This record gives sequence, structure tokens and C-alpha cells, in this order.
Amino acid sequence: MVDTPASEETRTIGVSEQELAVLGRIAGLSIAPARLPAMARDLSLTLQLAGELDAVLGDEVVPVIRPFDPSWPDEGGNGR
Amino acid sequence: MTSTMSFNLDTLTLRDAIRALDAGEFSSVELIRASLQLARATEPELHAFVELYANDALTYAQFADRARTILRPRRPLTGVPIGIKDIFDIVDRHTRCNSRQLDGADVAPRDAEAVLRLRHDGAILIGKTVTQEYAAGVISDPCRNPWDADRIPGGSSGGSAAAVAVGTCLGALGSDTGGSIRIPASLTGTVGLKPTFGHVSTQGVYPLSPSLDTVGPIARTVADALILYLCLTGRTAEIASIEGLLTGNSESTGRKLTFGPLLASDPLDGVRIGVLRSFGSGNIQPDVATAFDTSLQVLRDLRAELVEVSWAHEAAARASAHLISRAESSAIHHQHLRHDPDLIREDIRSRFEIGALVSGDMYLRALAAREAVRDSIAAVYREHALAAIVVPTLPATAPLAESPMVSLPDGEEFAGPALTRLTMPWNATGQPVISVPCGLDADDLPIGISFVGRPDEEIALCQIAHAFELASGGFAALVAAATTATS
Repeated sequence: MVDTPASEETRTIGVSEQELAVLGRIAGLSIAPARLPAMARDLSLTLQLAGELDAVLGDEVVPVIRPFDPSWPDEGGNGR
Repeated sequence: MTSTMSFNLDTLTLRDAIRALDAGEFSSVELIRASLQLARATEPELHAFVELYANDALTYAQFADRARTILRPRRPLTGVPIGIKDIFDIVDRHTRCNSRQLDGADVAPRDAEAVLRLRHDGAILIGKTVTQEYAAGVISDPCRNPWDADRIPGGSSGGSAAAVAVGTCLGALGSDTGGSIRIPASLTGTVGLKPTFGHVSTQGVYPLSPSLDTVGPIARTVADALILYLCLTGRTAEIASIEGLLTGNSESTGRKLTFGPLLASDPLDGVRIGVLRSFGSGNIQPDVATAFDTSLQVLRDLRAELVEVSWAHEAAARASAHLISRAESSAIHHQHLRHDPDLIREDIRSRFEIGALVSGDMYLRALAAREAVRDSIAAVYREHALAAIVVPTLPATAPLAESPMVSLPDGEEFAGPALTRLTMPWNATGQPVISVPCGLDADDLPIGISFVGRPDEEIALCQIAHAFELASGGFAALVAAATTATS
């Protein structure tokens, strides 16, 4: 996996077709060569999205193992 | 039962049908016959249904008409036609998920919990509606948009939305993992309610991403969507006081509403609604932007207090939902990807395969980020004392089916990422969202606006959406405007 720093503010994380082919084989997937370019682009975009998580996460992330609870703590102030 | 057949499926609502059936203005048999007749006329072009249950529906309609004369109180949905997205199990029927991989699979041994609830409340299941394959996308091929048959209805609950828009059913079940209720609702001019995550059972629904999958209704009006939501959550007793619920004047619910009574003259007086002006980087089609601005003026006229707000973690919310969805859907389809993967539509297959390459570390970080973005949006509501946030449901109107690209001010984009950009963040936070029609673009294609509520506050959310709908005209106004334009 290639990590290409573009600037201090933004990073472009790229996956080559060759790397994708290897990753796919390890995962037990059969990815035809013709599909590699588009999938490499899509995977690169997914990895870039993962970078967006940094905005809300600290350096140490405690794994969440409970089901998601959408409720908010009682905070008062109900919009009226 | 004698009747005058005084209904028009172009504009009939679920709530009006229930009232008229009760009043004996027409019978369930007449209503179901008319629905089936409409389906026969429209399906060759629309393809909203995988299959219609004509014989069963007519038989149940006869039962419903007899039951109506005997049973008091009547079950709330007695004798009305409802569509079921083809990822929900119906006993003794196939659940195909629009996938060739499921050809030949056994019929379902029992109803999905949501289907069972609607059936128990008297609904007549008129047929299974088309979904995007495995509910993983926005196209819903081969279904087309009733407003323009050259365009997609959106997805993945595209068949449900198209069927409701055209009138072959008066409500339908959908599911929403990244926008699959709200996207087709917006593109077809219907109302789509994504309830708070976990409120409606997903038992018996083919999963896409269990941490995000949410079941909800698609209907023609906010009131209809609320009726179906109350049925789906076992709160049918509250339907009798639906008018009170929608106006905040109910005393029968025994449930504390968020707001005090809303006065009919100024229904949103003092209600604080946040406007996320920069949502989706503001990259939306000009007609959508105009309709959104017009809608804000409608809310001001209703004396709502609009507050410009920002949310720093919108991108993180989108990213967490995206990564969770990719990883979980890949796990769900682990075997499908390794046995006959060629049977999966290529873009869906790639999506699942990419999910297999999301690392465990990345998945766990996405789950942790989701909790953080939930807390961050809660802080926005708290800071500004908001009842809801309002955003455009989508950045665009329905793309062409032949080439489902979306034209935006920043350029062309594939329909999938373009149409989920504004919907997916709310799957991460798990809040209830309702999409309501708010206008037509220059090509007479529907535009939707979304109200995003506080968790567990579906009724308060529907109060706001209902007030907006009354003022702006809703589905009926779109139909009238389009009819005027073509006559």
C-alpha cells in the first residue's frame, strides 16, 4: 500500500493494481485483471475516507464492542 | 356494500382511504381491484413490482370488507394495499433481493417482524417491490421513475417509492442503510421516514449492514408515514388520535412530546430549526438550491426560528457509515463473493470486495468514530437548542437510467456516491429523518427536503414535517403542478 503525502493538509493514499491483486488473493477473492483499475481507484477512495475519521478520534482508540445506541444523554433544551 | 367508487389513485392517501373505507364510501375489494388494474396498466413501463399477489389480495379484501362490518374497533390498516420491498420475508414467498444468486432459494418460513405487524394491523400485501440487488445501491433496475420513465427511481427501495408515487399501493416498506428510503422518496416526490436506528425490527429482513440497517415506511404524506411507523412500532392505539399527534394537541398518547401544543395559526412558532448551509460542501444543483431556499422561507412564514449552524464532523460521519457498511456487507456476502460471484452485478460485487479489504483496525476505528460523531451532533443540537436540522435530501433530481451520472456544479459524478452524500451522515448518527417533497425542477422532477430530528422523537419530527407539508402542498401539489404543466 502506498502512502503518498501530497501536502501538510491533505494526503492521497493510493493502492496500485498490483497491490490490489495481491490483497484480493489473500482475501480469497477472484478479481479479473480488467476490473483492477476501477477497484484500485475505489479502494483508494475508501482508504482516504478512513483518514476522515482522524478528525473525531484521538491517537488511542478504545474498541467499541457494544451495539450502537443512538440516544443522547438528557441535555435539556428541546428546541422550543 | 354499495359505493360510488369515489376515489382517485393519483392522489388518494392512506389516511383518506382508511377514513373512506370506514365510512363505507368504497370497499376494500374496489380499492384492491383498482390498485391491481392500475398496476396492470403501469407495470409494463414502471417495473415497480417483482410480483403481485392479485388473488390473495382480493381474497383478503373480501375478508376485510366483512371484518369491517363486524369488528369494532377496526384494525387500523384494514383493507388498504401495501407494498413490501423484496428483502423482507413474506411467509411462503421467495425473498429474491433482485439477485440471481437467490434464484431457487427456499420460500420464507415466516413473515418478517415488520411485515407481520402490518399484516396484523389489517394491511393487504399487494406485492413485492423491486430493490437494488441486495439493497446495495441507488439504481433499483429495472424499476423506472413514474415522473419520467427514462430515469431511475433511486434506491435501494426504488420499487416501493415508485409504487407509492403511482398509486398501486398507499404505503410501502423500505430499508435505509445509507439513504435507501430517503433517496427514492426524494426522487419520486413521496415521503420517506427513516426512524431512529433500532426502533423498527429488522428480523426477517435480508441484511446489508446490521449496524446501520433501518426499516421504515414510504408513503404519500407525513401523516401516512406516521401511521405506518406507529403500526411498525406497535403503537397502533395512537393512530386514532393522529390529528392530535400531528398538531401536538394529543392527550391520549400518555407520552411526553418534545414540544408544547402547536397552534394551528402559527404551527412552528418559536421552533428552532438548524440550517446546515455547508452540508455536502454546498455542491447541489441550482434548482435544488432554489427549492431549498424557498422551503426555508416557508418555514420562516410558519414562524420557525431558523438558525445557521455548522457541524465539524460531517465528513467523519459519512466516512464511518461508509466503512462500517462496506466491511459488514462484505462479511454478510462472504460466501456469495467466493461462490458464483459473477452472478452479482459488477458494481455491487466490487463494493462487497472492497469491503473485504477494509482492515479490522479500520472497522473498529469507524465504529468508535460513529459514537464520537453522534456525540458531536448532539452537542450542535444542545448548543443551539434545536428541535431539528433541515437539509436538502439530495443534491440532485433523478438521473437518467441509461447513464446514471449526476450533474453537479463541481462536475459529473456517479449516482451512488453523489446521492448518498447528504443521506449517509444521518445513518452514522442514527437520528430519525423524514424526507418531504418540496418542489419540482425545470424538468418537472421532484425535489425533497429532509428534517433531521432528535433520537426517539419521531412524532415531534413529523409535527414539523407535517406543518411544512401543509404549507408547501406536499405530494398533491407536485401532482397538480405537473398535471398543469402537461395540460
